[in-house]
Amino acid sequence: MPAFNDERQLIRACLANKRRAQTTLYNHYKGKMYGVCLRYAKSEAQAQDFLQEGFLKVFKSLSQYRFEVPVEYWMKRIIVNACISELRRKKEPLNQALPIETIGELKEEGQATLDTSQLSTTQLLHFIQKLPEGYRAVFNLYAIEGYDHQEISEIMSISAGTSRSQYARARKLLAKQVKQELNQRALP
Amino acid sequence: MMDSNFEKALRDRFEQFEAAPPESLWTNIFWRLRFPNILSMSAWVAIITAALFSLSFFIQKEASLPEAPPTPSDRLILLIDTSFCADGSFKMDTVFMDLPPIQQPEIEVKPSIKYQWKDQGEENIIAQNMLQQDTASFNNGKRLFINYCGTCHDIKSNFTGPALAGVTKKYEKEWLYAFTRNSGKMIADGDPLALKLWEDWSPTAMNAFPNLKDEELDDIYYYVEEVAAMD
Repeated sequence: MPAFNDERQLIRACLANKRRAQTTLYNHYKGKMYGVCLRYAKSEAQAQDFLQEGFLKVFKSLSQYRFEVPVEYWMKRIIVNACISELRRKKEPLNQALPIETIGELKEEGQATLDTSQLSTTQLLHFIQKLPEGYRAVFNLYAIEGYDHQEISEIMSISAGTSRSQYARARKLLAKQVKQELNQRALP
Repeated sequence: MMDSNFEKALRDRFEQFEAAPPESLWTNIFWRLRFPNILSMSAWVAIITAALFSLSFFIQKEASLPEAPPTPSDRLILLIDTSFCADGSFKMDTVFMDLPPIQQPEIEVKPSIKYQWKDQGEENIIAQNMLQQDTASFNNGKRLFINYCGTCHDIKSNFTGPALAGVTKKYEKEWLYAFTRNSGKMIADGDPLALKLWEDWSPTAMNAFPNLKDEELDDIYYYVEEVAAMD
C-alpha cells in the first residue's frame, strides 16, 4: 500500500485514477470544502449537492493543476465556481434588482458596525443561509472569499454596481438578524 | 480593497470552519467519477420507489378484480319514452342504456327444517336440495326483477305499472309469459285480458322483454310471490 507523504505524490496518484489516492484526497479536504458549500447553499441537502458537483469538477480538472498554489486554495476556488454555476443552473435569480431609492439608505446602514464576536460560527452560518439567493453568493464572495466587486461582476455576470448594492443589502439583512438574535439573548 | 473589521473577522472565522459531510457522499462521487452518466442516488431511490409503488398498486388491483363480468344482456335496459301528439296518438322512442351491474347482498333464506332426524336422512337431503334451488331462484329472480321490472313495478303497491303481488294466481302461466315478453303485441292482437289491462293503465305501455327465458321468468315470479308472502 503506498503512503502519500507528499501532496504532489498524492495528486499524481489521483491523476493515475488510483482509488485509494482519490479517497485520501477527498477525506482530507471534505470538511473544509463542505464548510464552503454550506455558506453558498440554503440547506444541507443543497450543500451536499454542491460538494458532490464540486468534487467531481476537482477530480476532472486535476490535470490542469500546476502546483503553483497550495492545492487547498485551488480546490476551494473550483468548489466556489461549482457552487455559483450550480446556483445558476437551478435558475435561482442571482441578480435581484433593488429599487433605486433604497440604495442611498443602504450605503449608510451597510457601513454600520456589525459585531459578530458573540455569535458562534454555526449561528452565523445559519444567518448566511437564510439570506436570499443572490445576496448570499455576493456576500460570500466579497466578505469571506475576498474578491472585489469587479471580480464578482465577472464571476456572476452582473454589473459591479449590482454587486455593490447586493452586498450592502445582504449586510443590512445580516445586521438586522444578528441584532434580533442578540436582543433575544439579552432577554431573561 | 477596503477591509473592515467585520469582514476580516468573518474571514478568519470561516477560514478554519469545517463541517462533516455525510459518509454516503463519497460513494456518489466515486461512482459518478467512474460512470459519468450514472443517475444520482436520489434519482435511483425515486425510480425504485415509484416502481415498487406502481407494482403494489397493480397487484392490489389484480386481487380485487370481480370474479366474472356480468353478461351484457343483464345490463341492457330498454327505456321507452312516450310523447303525445295533438291528434291524441302517441309515439314511443326507444333508448338503450348500459347500466353498471347492481351488486346486491345475497339474502339468506333460513331453512324451514330445523331438526334433522336420523331416519329422515334421505328426505332431508332432498329437502335441502330443494331449498338450495329455491334460494338460487330467489336470488336470481331478485337480480332480474331489479334489472328489468323494478324500474316500473313495485311488488305490493301500484307504481308506474300495477302491483305484481299475486300475479301468478291471477293469470295463467303461458299467458303471463307471453304478456311479460311482449304486451304490446297481445294488445294489438286483441287479447281480452290484455285489452282490459290496457284500458286500466293506458297510456302507459309496458316494455317488451323478448330475451327473457322461461326459467328466468319463473325465477322472477317466484321472487315476486315470495316477497309478497313475507310479513
